[in-house]
Amino acid sequence: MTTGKLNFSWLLLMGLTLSGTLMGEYAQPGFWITLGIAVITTIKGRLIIDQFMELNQASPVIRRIVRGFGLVVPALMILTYLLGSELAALTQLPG
Amino acid sequence: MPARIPGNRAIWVGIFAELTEFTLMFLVYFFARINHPQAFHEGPQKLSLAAGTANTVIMLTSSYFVARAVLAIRRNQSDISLRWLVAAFVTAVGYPVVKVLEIRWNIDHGVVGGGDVFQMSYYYLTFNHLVHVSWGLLGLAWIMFRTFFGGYSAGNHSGLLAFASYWHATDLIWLMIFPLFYVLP
Repeated sequence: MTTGKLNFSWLLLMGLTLSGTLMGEYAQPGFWITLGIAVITTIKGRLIIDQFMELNQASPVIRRIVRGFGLVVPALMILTYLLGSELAALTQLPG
Repeated sequence: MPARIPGNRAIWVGIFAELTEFTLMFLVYFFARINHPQAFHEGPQKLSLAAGTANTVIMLTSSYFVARAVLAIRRNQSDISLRWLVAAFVTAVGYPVVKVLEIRWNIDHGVVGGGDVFQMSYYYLTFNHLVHVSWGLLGLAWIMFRTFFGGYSAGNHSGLLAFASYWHATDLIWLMIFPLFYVLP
């Protein structure tokens, strides 16, 4: 971790947060907007994990678990957008 | 050179417990979302996007300040590290302040805990996160106290690293909560 990398990561995180806010203000439901929000969430999470937490240089077990956590929400955003009604049907009790 | 286990093993047990807890809550969120799509489509429009954005900026900036404190202690600059920690604390106190203002705004606009499934999920997840931030603030106060009395140096700052790891993990969780309740239509 260097000062320059940290500063750049923070600026990028601010820019991505503002993008997310604009999406929240104007976005209508749709695949591309869902994908965009999922990608922004993934990038922000990865910046925290690799640059702030420095897990890119840490134990592989810790790194994989935390990186995996950072993918759960973005993956479920896309999955539930594409297959929401099918998944809802699977989670209903019969009768 | 960063440690392969940042901080200590104990804090990582706590962080993994925290991540597991929120993963389960995220699964509940998506279960509710697929079964009540209309409530979750309309939900973000009822919340204050400004409050959600403000708390995102607060969490990210406080996390950045803590990372700068770690950099400073690696250079054996204890006084500079303390200044970054104070900046992190002052910034992070803004989180519960914004939360209080947000909840007042919510109540005025009919967003209450006994509302629809979106509102219940929102309160459950964000209150849980607020609890974790509150623990973090107490931890940060302790780390500032230790730094003030020369408890850390370039060769020995695992306590500071342990706190930093917890704080960044709590920030990471907020980065997942923010789009789910304030952005995703």
